[in-house]
This record gives sequence, structure tokens and C-alpha cells, in this order.
Amino acid sequence: MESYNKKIAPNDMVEFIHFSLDRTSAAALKWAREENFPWAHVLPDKHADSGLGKYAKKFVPYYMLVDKDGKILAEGSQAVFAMVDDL
Amino acid sequence: MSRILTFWNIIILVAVGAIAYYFYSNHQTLVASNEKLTSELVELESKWTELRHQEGEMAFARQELEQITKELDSLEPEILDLSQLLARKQAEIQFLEGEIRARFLEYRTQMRKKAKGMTFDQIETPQGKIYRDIKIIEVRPDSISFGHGGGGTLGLAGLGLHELPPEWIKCFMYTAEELEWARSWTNADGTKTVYGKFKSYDEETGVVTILEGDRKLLFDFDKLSDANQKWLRNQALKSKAEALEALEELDKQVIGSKIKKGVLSKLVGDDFFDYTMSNAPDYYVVYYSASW
Repeated sequence: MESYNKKIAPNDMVEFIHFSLDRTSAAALKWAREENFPWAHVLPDKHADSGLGKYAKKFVPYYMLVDKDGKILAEGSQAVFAMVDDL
Repeated sequence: MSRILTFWNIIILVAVGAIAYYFYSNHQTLVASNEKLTSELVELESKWTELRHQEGEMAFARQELEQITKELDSLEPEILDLSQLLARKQAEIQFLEGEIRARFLEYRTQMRKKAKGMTFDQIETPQGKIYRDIKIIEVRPDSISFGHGGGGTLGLAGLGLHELPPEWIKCFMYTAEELEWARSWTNADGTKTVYGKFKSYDEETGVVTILEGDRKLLFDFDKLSDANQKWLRNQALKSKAEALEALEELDKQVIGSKIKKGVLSKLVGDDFFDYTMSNAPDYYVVYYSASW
């Protein structure tokens, strides 16, 4: 959350999206309420429409930095936030 | 008999001639071949010499590389020390910058408090409005109020940041950051005011987001003052035009075209609401995760 507030929220060039792998939107909502997530979510019923499901791994959590053309630029939280610093 | 001899003599002569020609031709071929070999040999010798030169140069370069590597190895602890020193100095500079800023803000707050009662003969706003015989009433982060005429007693006026004359911006130490940021946000009954930068206004939910430094403040549109509401409506109109432009940009993206509208949700209050993207970022950080 701290990295998001410092590095991503003030940067208009970057959008942070949470792809929720919870089974239901209700479970995702419960978690979002508890943590007060400020970012945008792709809820379970929108996975197919988002086009982001194809990038998912078989493990969580997984961070990925992707450009507007769908090219993966970095994977893993450290690499992703380090690269966001340089954008 | 003599004719036969003559015939054989001719045959022998021809044969001798043929043999001589064969040897002569062979000799010529050998000479040519020899010359070619000699020329090739000279060329090879030249290449060989060149290779020896190159070998020598490579050996020299290798020696130099070894020397540089040794020097670098010996410099490594020094470089480490220097980078540690640099990091320390950077931290010191950062600390000093923070101190300077804190002192500046403290000094400015005091100076603005003491500005009450200051007098000015005349000012002219960038919009061309002229005020004379001025007496300052209050200097705030987003405006200055004052009396004018008759020693500051005939009329009352207030100037927002965009109306301040340059000499007042300098005199009351308004920074570029402040000029960009400061806006007052007052509740409908006028009892409470905060200052901060406008971040967003969601017309559907009525949520207004303001940034007070790093802190995010959320307000209900209906509970803000009339002046704030009017400004927000204008802002919303501008935002709509910008959002349309953003949607056009998003349509050109592989990622943005799929998620721009009707796919994303955001938590507002206690529930998720549909979130339509209002700008077209170049990059996306996607976080795959779950509550379990």
C-alpha cells in the first residue's frame, strides 16, 4: 500500500489494477473493505472481459508491469516497483 | 633408298621438334607456376607478419587489461567507501532540505500572521483591477483579504491566488507549488475549512477526493459549500471532455481498450462501484492476488 501511495497514485502514466483471484466478488469486497484498497479491481465475473487472465500465474501474489501494448516489462514486486521508479 | 632415308630423317626431325616443344612448354608452365607460388608466398609472408603484429598487440592489450583489472580491484574498497560516503551525504542533504523547508514554512506562517495591518499604497491584479490605500486583514494559503480606500476602511475585498499581484506573491512567500495546489474546501454551513489539492470528483457517487499533502481526504459533494460545488461542476465538465479524449486514447491500446469501461470496479465507501478510466496511462501494474 505504501509503495502504491508513493510511487503509483501520483503518477498518471501508471494505473494499478488488482486482478482478484477470489472465488466470489463478495469475498473480494470483504477483503477490499478490510484493507480499504484505493485501486481498481477486476472482479471474478469480469476476468474474461479484462483480457488480463492470460497473464496470471499459478501462484499468488504476482505483480506484473505491462505496457499499453501488452508487453510484459517486469515481473515480481521488487522488479516492478524498481522499474516504476524509472518511468 | 636415299628417299626412304630422307623420309625417316623428316620423321625424326619432327619427333625431336615435338619433344623439344613438349619440354619447352613444360618449362614455361613450371616457370609460370613458380612465379605464382612465389607471389603467394610473399602474400603469406605479409599476412604472417600482420598476424604477428596483431598477436603482439593482443598480448599488449591483455597485459593492459590485467593491469586495469588489478587497479580496479585495488580501487574497489575505495569505491565502496565513496558510495557509502555519498549515501551519507545524500541523507544529510535530504535532512537539511527538510529542515530548511520546515524553517521556511514556520517563518512564513509567522510572517503571514504578522501581515495583519500591513499597508500598501496601491496594487494592480493581473486582471487589471486596481486597489488603493490598502490595509491587510488576513493572509491565507488560498487568498488574501484586505480593506481599501480611506486607510483601508471604505471597502473590503479578497483576492484568490490567481488574482494576486506579483509583488504580493513575493512578499507573502507563495510558492509555485502552493499556487498550483491551494484551494479551500469549506463545509456547507461554513464552520470548517481545509486546504488541499483537488484530486477527483465522481458525479455518480458524489465523492470528492482532496489531497492534503500525502493524505487523501474524501468529502460528500452535497456537504460542501456552494462555491466549492460550483467549482466542482465546472471541473466535472472539463473532466468529461478530458475523459472522452482519454477513452479515444484507450481504444488504441491493447490493455486499455479492454478494461476502460464496464470491467473495473473501485471501492467507494462500503461497496464496489463501476470504475470508468478517465486517463490513458502508458503502463499498468497488475497485481494478481486473493484474500485466501
